[in-house]
Amino acid sequence: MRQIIALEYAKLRKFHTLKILFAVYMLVVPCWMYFMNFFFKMNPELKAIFTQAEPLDFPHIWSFITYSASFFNILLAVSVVTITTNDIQFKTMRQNIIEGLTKRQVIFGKFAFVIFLSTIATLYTLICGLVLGLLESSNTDFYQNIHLNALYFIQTIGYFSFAFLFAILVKRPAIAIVTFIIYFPVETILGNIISHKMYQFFPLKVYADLTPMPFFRAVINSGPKGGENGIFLLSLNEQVCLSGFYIVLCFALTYFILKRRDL
Amino acid sequence: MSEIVLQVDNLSKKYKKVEAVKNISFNIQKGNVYGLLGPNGSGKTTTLAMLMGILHPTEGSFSWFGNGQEDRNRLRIGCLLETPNFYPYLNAYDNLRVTATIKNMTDPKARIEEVLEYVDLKERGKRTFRTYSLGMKQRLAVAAALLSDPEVLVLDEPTNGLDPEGIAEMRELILKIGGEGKTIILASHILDEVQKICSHVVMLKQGEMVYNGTMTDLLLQRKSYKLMADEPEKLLSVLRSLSQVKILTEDSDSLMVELDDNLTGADLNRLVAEKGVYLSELHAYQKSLETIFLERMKL
Repeated sequence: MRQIIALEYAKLRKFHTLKILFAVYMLVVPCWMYFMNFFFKMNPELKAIFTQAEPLDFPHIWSFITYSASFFNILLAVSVVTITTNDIQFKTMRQNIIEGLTKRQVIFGKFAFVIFLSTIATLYTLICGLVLGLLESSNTDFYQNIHLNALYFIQTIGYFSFAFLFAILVKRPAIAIVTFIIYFPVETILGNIISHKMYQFFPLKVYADLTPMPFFRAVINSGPKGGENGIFLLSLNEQVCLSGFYIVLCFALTYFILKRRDL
Repeated sequence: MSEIVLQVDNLSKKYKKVEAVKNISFNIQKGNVYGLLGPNGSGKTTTLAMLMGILHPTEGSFSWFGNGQEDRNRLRIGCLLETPNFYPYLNAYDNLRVTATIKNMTDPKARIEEVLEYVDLKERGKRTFRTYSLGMKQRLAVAAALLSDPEVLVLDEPTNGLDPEGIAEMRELILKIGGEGKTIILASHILDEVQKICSHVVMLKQGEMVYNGTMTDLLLQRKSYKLMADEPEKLLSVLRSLSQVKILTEDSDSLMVELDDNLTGADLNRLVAEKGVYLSELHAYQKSLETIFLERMKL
């Protein structure tokens, strides 16, 4: 494992695209949080409808920041797609295998990268939330709802492993990025066409619901459940289990594809 | 008999409609330099790609170092297959560090310096790979192949894209490596180069193996002979009666003939003497590998 991490580090430490995408992510998350805070201050009537809370106040900041950061995960997912497709395009994955790397090690390497990226993204949102909360919150109740960061961590692993699968399937950088981005609305449309209940089990929907819109779960839970008029929502435990299943499935499928494919 | 480092048994690769490699079998012995020859599309690169684990054979098997097709075998092999493939945003040092990590080298710094020096890239080692000329890329690929001091070196068209000076340098380099007792498998179009470097030859034609043996045997087998006798007409009639002899040219006083693979000049001398014709001259002309190769490809 140490060798694989050392290898990924040697490959990526000078990959500027990753640094740029991460810098944008780091900039955009706090900026968006401030923008939201400003927006709700300017529009108190909207705040009353949507949130009833200050976005930068503890503990609401955790649901706001994880929900907001989940949109910007796309930037980091694009870096996963770029790195993987570049490895195919430059034939460096092929060369790595010629030099003695196994296909299993290739997958482990990418998994290690996904975990690393998710850890950094989660730590960043955690630190960002803490700093913004300590600066702007009217209270210091920071530990309440802090578990949302753990859910955000699972969510990022889910998105990035999905991005990895896309990259291995499509192989070409630009097409892989476009199809990955297009898949988001496609899944939403498809899910709503098939059935609302089925849609809850779709991979990106499962990941997205780990950090839902602030107060979304509370609103849903207060309304009618199941039946024809009610809204069906998976429990948090079900979403976590399903996310884990999809993450394992993504890496297993990727391994299966790589194992069978001529490079 | 020296140790076998690679055993290939009935290896085949079939794409949808094309059979790129057909049932080939050969052994590679330790310490020899093997030339893998064949025109474009003959299956050289496909064969090497299967042996290096990036293509799945349709049929057959191979075994490196007697360990079958285990992935770890490749850690003992240095390989340049087709084009040099490196991370374009990394310099030579960083790219070789990637290779060193794969090869499980503990402290590769000194060795990286050494191989870059060896291929004359040390001065430009800090420049990113994307800025390199084709010749520099090719040399870096050779450096990567040599990095872990492998037991076997697989080089597929190492002189591709090189200028005449680069080709000469690469030839010197391969000769130098071969002189160090390494086993080398060299696929090349430049037959003059192969003739100078290789001790053994495996020849492929449309995916089929048409020759497998030593370079000496190949060159000796395909000698042509100039024959003279006191009675040229009688000699001609005797030669016409011998099925192992092919008459190439007829002059008033001499004949040029080619012999079957299993017949030597001495055998011919004996055969015609038995028929009462005594040769006044028997001169062997050795054909170049290129001529032999072209003849074999036409067959």
